Amino acid sequence: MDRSAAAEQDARLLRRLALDRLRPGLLVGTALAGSLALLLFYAWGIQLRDGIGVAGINRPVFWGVYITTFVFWIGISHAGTLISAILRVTGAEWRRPVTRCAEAITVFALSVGGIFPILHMGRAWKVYYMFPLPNHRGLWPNFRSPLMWDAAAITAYLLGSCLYLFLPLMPDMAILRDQSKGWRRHIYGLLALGWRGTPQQWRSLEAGIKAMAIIIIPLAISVHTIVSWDFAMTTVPMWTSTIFGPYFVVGAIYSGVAVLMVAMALLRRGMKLGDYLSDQVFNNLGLIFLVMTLAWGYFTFAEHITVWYANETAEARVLWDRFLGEAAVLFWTMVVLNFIVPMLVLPFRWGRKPLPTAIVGCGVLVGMWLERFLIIVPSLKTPRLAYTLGHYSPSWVEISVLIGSVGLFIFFYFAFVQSAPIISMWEIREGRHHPSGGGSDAQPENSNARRGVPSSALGGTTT
Amino acid sequence: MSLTAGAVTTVFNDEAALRVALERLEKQDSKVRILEIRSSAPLSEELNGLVATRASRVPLMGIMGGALGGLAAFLIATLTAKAYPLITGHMPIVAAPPVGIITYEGIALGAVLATTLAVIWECRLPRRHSASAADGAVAEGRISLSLEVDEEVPAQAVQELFEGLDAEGLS
Repeated sequence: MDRSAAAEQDARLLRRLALDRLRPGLLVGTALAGSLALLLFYAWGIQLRDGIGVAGINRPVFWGVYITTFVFWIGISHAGTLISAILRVTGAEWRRPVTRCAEAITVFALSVGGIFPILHMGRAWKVYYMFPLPNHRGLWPNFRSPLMWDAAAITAYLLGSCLYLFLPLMPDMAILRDQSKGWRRHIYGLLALGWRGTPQQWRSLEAGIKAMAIIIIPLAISVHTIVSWDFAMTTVPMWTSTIFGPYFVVGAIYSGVAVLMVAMALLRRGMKLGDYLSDQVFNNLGLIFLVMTLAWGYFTFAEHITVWYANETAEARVLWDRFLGEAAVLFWTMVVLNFIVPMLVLPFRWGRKPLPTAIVGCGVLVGMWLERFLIIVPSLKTPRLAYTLGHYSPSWVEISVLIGSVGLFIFFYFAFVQSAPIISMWEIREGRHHPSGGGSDAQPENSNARRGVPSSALGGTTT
Repeated sequence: MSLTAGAVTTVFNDEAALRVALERLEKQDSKVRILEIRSSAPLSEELNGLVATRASRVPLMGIMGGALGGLAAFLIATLTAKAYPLITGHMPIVAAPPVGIITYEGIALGAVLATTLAVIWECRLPRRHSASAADGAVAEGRISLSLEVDEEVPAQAVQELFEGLDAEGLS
């Protein structure tokens, strides 16, 4: 591609990212999402004032919507950093327009998810009990508790994800700094940290990104494995399962891919990024989505068939509650949304286009929230000792917090889209010059065509 | 292109032109030295022989950070157990598997932090960005080459470096 065409491509991308002006649609969306987020803080305020009793949780169902939603958001967080890291490590060319959309999801989903254990505590001001400091009773954190492992894992993952998002953002901030004026130039200049783009800087940055990608993969897997151990380390019916770790990881990646598909479809339509988030990108991610559907179906089947065949009294009670009892409507809705619908759509090429994948993604998000709810509530309300049978229905406070958390996530994401390039500009340029990411193993220019990546996705001629 | 003794900055439209200029520069006397090359995307490693860069120690620092983080987490978990004023008959309060899990997370956290700090350190960041004439061109996707030229070098010699190339002199 000649210089002027490349420059035109870059200018067009910048125009579409629209960082130098306000987008009315995005502003309205941000405001609406912010209003929903206020609902979370209002409900939380009521809970702080009146106590945890305003939530529907009670003996024996001590975990309800808060922990369900916590597991849900931690699962969503696997959309970004993990998927981005895998794509970087495997050198997938089509990753370039996807990585930042995905990494931002991780940071914001973790930030929202991290609120829930504090909410669930009731007395939020006691959160420092989880810090490695002696509290006023002379106690230190109880590292025997899987909840403390959660705190350690999520802190590491959140910090790692923030830095993994920030490092590749520096060169783009420098580009924006040098192309903007006034207060924007000042802000972007601060965020670029004085980046100049010398060969030494690029070498160090690329080494850092590669190293981070390798570190992040086992870290992300450990996070959701540990979340699963919150359940599996107990003797509650249908929680003591050896496959809970991988089952949760698969579910997390599945819901993560779902939210990524929805976010990408919205970005593509709202910001006219079809040249970058192309049909080919959706097709490739759709194939991953399909694989995750099959993996989730397989794990869900394996999880239930063993309980059904063993027919142990306490576990069978929970199982039949899910199949035919009070939870049956939720269970079969989950199966339809998480397996039947995706299997009817995703195997076909027409089904891996932006709109179908976004619709399937929305369904999977609902289905995955239901999955976590079904893991938690039926097991707790039918414990091994039958005289403690219980009932649970979420209160308006819990529902408000759930809806508010969705609003908070969307608010964060929209605000990010308005203030930073949601598509990595330097990676697009790098792909245009040497597709495999530079280096001695650089592929020829036409390698993209062989891999099915249209030149437009890498900044080539567009229609 | 105006040529004076001191710094000369030229911007290239593509890497091929830069490569030719660097090859010409290599053949010349050392009276003209590279001050800085800047680009908005990584240059290909084929230029490695022409552009001096140090091997990155980021991966090594990541490993060291992981080791330190793991040690710190191990100590927090084990010393925390010791801090409980309980008589346990020399049995550990926190068993080995939980200590292992905390240590694992500490390794990851240490590696992530050390990697980031190593990148920041090697890139000599943060620092104040002094605006230069090449900023705009680099942001547009071109590559700038700044040279330090000794006084006795004739302007003609410097001009020859860029002759016939798709380049534009800035200073």
